[in-house]
Amino acid sequence: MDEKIKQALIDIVGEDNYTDSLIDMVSYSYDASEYSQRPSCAVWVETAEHVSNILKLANREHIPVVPRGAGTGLTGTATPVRGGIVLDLSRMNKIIKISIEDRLAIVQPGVVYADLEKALAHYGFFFPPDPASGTVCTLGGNVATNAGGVKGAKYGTTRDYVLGLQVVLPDGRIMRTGSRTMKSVSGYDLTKLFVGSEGTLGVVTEIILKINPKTTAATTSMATFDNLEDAGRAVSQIMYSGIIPSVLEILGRDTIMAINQNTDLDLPEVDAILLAETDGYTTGETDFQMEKIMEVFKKNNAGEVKKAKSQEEASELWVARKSAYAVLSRIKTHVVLEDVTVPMAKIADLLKGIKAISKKHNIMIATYGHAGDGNLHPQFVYDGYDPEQVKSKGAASAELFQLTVDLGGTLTGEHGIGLQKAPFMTLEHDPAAMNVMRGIKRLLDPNNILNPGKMALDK
Amino acid sequence: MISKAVLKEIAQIVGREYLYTTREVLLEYASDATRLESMPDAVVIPENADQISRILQLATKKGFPVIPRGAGSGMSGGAVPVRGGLVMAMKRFDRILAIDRDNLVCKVEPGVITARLQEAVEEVDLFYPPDPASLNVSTIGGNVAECAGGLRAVKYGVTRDYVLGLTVVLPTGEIINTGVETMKGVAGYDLTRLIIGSEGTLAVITAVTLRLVPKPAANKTMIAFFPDVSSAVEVVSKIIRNKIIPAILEFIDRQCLDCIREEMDLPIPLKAGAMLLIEVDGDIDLVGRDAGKIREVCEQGKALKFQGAANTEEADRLWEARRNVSPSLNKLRPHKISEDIVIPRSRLSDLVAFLGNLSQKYGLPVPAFGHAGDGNLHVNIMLDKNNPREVEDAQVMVRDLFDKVIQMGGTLTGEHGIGVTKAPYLEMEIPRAGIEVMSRIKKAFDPQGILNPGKIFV
Repeated sequence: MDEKIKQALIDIVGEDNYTDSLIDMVSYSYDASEYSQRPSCAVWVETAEHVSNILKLANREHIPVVPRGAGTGLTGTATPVRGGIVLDLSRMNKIIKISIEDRLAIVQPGVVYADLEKALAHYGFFFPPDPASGTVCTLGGNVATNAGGVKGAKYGTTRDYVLGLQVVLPDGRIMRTGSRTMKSVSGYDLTKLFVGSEGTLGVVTEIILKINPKTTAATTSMATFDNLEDAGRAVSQIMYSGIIPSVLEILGRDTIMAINQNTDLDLPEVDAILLAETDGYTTGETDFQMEKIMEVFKKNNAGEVKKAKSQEEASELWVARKSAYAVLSRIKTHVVLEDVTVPMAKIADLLKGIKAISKKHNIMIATYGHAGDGNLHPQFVYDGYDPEQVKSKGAASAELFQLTVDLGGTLTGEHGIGLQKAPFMTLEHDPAAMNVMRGIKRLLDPNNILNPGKMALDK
Repeated sequence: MISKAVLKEIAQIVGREYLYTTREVLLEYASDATRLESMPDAVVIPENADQISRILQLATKKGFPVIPRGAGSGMSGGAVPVRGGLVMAMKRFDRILAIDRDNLVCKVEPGVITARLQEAVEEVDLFYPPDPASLNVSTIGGNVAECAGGLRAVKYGVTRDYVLGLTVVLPTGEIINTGVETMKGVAGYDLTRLIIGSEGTLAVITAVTLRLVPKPAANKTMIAFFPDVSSAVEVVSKIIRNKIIPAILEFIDRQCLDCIREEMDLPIPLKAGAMLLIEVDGDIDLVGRDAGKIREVCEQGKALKFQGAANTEEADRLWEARRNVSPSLNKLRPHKISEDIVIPRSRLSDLVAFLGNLSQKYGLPVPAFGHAGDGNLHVNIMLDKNNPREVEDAQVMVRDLFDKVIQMGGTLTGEHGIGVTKAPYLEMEIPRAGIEVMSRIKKAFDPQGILNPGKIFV
């Protein structure tokens, strides 16, 4: 880092909040994706003014700035591909206000999802998106990537809960969007424009979130299917039945086998297992809903249909589901987790297509995910040191994206575009739509300093 | 003014029978529900996106305003051609293209009437929740353009929460698809939500993909009267604290009650200073549990009277109270300025107290009713427009009201939009940086400023 700029940064954030040591630069060179690139330095910001002053400096000097929460993103959003300054927001971690009367929480971006969860639990409320990385990921990161999770089918994603933001624009101006109210149509919806913009339009420094009452009872069940079509049809019929399960997950055969190799669960090794949870305030209510779901399972030729008899049995099943990513990661040296989303009724088609792609390219693709909203996570398992396999992986994922778009789907349901899917943006968006997005990026960030290289916006 | 030669070109695009320039027709399209009036130069009724694309290209080249229009039921002047130009009526885009039960989505053209879509999806046991008061006439395109809300917003959200994707024509004539046909998606910037609520200033919508939900199996309507606003508001908070989010949670103040008293079968207690109309929906068991809990909360909370509807007819009678409010306010004064503010719910009592003071200070009645559940209150400043002093006072009152609302952390409009009527006040809420960003976005979409000029920004 240029000495003058280094000094200017230290003047802004203080000596303790600046680093360019090698060990830190290595740590900041990657996130949970397959990419890495060292930045020149990193700063821990503590206030919106810090962010503003840094952006003014960077904008003047044309230095890339990469905002970072916990670095748990799966698409390379926090990887500083063009070097520059990493803006670590993890020290802006205060919960500013919780108002049950107004049904909202106001937080700083560095608050960890689970910490907000704990604070809200005290009032019997929660912030529903529930990303898998909830114990470590930050709310600022959730907003930047519009994070979702297993409860999406019933409760939606982060976007549905963001009422307002404080954002620092690339030129350093601090701006508020939205309001503390449940609804507003004053002017353009800038709040939603920043949600999911992956740190390319502004740096979020405060978030107003809508919160929900938390249910107190849940019932869990599972069903096995020897036939993917049956499982797919069961999913649409459940969503249509009038009961919206709080969770409806699917595990494919490869995933089931990997789980069995690593646990004592001894799951039936079938083509697909569906896991469902209903939530409510009494077990009478959640059991009643689950009865209806189990009827749908049976009607669609499920093999085994089983309701968890105890809390322990239920949590075993969820532990199995949540272990999928980890157990699959042990098989080979490398994994890439995809995040494609299709209309619900196309889940069976997608699963069959994935099977064919896997066979054609001779690469393991284990699938699981959020059946209830059509968001599946095919996980590519391969040896990243074998150039042949890397090539197959590339070809297979390109085919997966094409298949998804052909089925009327989208490349990403909750992980974002980042670096990983940037080359495929034009599969989903026509050139005119890409131009509009690039136009918006240019008008807010003419010098392209904020998180450059992401989302196929540079042109 | 649009020149004769340009009109001829437009006629060639749509066919002569779909371009109107006669005074009678122009008058029909000069106004909307605000009754503001401004004559357009011509009215066009296009048939497809391609025609719209060609008209917008022409408009961008020649620089005449184009004002997209649904049913003209907007409450903020969004469809009024304030700078003249070409009104583009979306009447012929009136097809429901698909209702997909398996995927819980439907695709419609923007001219479909909201109630018609609701009926069509309910026939297959699905549900499209947004229910603006004008749903029997309003169109889906208008709902999207304004981000319409309604009574059920407290539980189900507003139009924005149901739009998955759009097909739109940009002012430059390009046709783009935004968003997804899936339940979720995060690929690229959220252009869909940028266009929702943009009041026809960024693009013309030609198709809308909407998310649907299963139809709730049961519902129950209840009504409760309270001696004063604060005890009603306390009950609202308690209901939410009990983790019940009712489908509907409507509030009516004392002045409104006095206006409807004579018209109601249901006796309204003389001492009633506030009324809540509450509806819960969902599974039968759940509805029973929630309704029981709400009754308990109301009775513990100083309710003068509580009544639950045993059946649909009774529910309908309870609904009469809410429905009669708006039309009966004219007993107080012949005209009204109706505002649509939203405040954090905990400030509801303070705001109603403030309205009492405001009314007293200027001597004009200010009845209020609205969606207590989400803090969206319809504040009516009643006046006689033939009395210049009252007109002047009412304008000062609007500014005082907005000042108070912003001070409380609220917003000027929850569901009606900025349009013409609130444009002068936008700066009270949106900081300069925000307005500047919005204007730049407008410019990026519409470099010549042809789409619905004179709205939102002044």
